[in-house]
Amino acid sequence: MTDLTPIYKIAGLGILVAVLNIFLVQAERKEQAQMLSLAGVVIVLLWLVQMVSQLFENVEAVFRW
Amino acid sequence: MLWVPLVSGLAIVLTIILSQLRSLDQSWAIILSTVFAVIVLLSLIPQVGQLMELFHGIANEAKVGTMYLSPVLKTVAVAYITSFGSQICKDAEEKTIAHIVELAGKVVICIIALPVIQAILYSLFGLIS
Repeated sequence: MTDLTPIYKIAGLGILVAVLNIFLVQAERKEQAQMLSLAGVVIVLLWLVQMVSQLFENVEAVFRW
Repeated sequence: MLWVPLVSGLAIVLTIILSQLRSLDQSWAIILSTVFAVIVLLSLIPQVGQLMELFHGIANEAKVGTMYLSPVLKTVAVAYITSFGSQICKDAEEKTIAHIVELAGKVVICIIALPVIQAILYSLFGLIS
């Protein structure tokens, strides 16, 4: 069965970052807003790298003969 | 087999979201599409494993040696991973990186195929001399 937890996790973080971004832009803090969105992207990228490495390990295990 | 409609529906929803997100924030769009691809491929891997077991059984019955089967399977795996990477790069409109990834895959596949080519050439030389 497909495990959809990562999609929900990433969607939640994305919504959180977007809302905080809007607040920061409204408060005239463009620099911080940019840094926040960058931090969000980096966090999600860390999860993504773990998932991709898991995928590659699985592929290697399946095709090893 | 129950997850095929799930994957299809999720793909439609993500396509609609991504069509908006691409103009709004490119990096999140790439991340979302990559996460979807990784999840679907991860859930697909056990099925591919069953397929490979079937192939292995057939090859054992036909008495095809591991020397011939192993390069084929390795090539399929390399092609699988390479197409995954290059397709994501293409999706983000980074054609150069996608081409480089494909080139790396081709080189690795050539290296994998080298022992078989060598065996063919040696048997050819043996035939001539």
